[in-house]
Amino acid sequence: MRIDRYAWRGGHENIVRMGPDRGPTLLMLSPLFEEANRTRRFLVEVMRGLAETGLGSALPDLPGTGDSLVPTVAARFDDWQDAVGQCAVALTGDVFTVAVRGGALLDHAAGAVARWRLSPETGARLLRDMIRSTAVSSGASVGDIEGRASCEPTMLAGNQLDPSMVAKLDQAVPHAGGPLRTLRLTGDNGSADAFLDGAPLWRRAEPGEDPALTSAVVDDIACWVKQCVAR
Amino acid sequence: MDERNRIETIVRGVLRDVLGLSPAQIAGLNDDSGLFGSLPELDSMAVAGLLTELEDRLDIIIDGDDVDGDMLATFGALTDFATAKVAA
Repeated sequence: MRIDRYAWRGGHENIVRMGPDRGPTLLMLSPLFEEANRTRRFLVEVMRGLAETGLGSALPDLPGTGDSLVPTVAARFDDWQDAVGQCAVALTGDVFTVAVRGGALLDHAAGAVARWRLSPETGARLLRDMIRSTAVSSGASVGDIEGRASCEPTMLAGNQLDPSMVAKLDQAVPHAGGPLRTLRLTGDNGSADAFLDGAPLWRRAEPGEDPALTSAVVDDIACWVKQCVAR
Repeated sequence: MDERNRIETIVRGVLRDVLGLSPAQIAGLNDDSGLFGSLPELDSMAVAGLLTELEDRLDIIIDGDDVDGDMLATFGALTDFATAKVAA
């Protein structure tokens, strides 16, 4: 594992790299906000598994996330799209995206050869989860929190979000079109190319590990990249 | 009562999947079992996940005004809430 840097229009951020530098690179787009913390270990385990199959991967911090020096409240959705695009440019070889949950709201910005998604989610549903979570922990009503979040920086499920981020997130949907493979967990309602048995780690306070899910995801991605490259 | 049993089974499944409770913990849940405030696994983010999963699996909409500590206090209260929503 090593740390690289990439430049976006407002600064520089870290990229965690694993596996070979050459050949196709998987650009990992993590879930957003608190879900990112809960799935970090899972994503790193997937990257390790991909490296064992000979595939390189890159997990960038977006401005205002991870080790970024940008405060969370200064994070802007448009900057995230720019950062994903710039990060993809900084990688060598063909870029394929691997997006989990809210990461799928950004994957089109990478200009990737093809995109792979696990349980993609709309921004509106992610926002609703965060607002409900805030309502339960603060005792304030959902309506009050929505009202405040639309006009002033507001703490939502542990992250201070600017109203412009809230507004953009509310409208954001995963882009359709282009070579795309979507997986979901068994029991999920949405449409998918395949379903995997596993735990929604992004929901868990103590996410732990799900080695069977990790290995199923690694196998699916490795097979998918091989098919895409052969085309 | 059959309907409540059906919904109770679904609520149990959601708790298992969202919280990662062990089969023994899940089997041990009864109407008086404490949830929010009693289970460390059920933090406020997990509550949001729990509500979303219930909506998806029961095909219901849970309004913002419905969400409070009472409906989440016990397994029985949550099951009653879900049953009432399905019937509504």
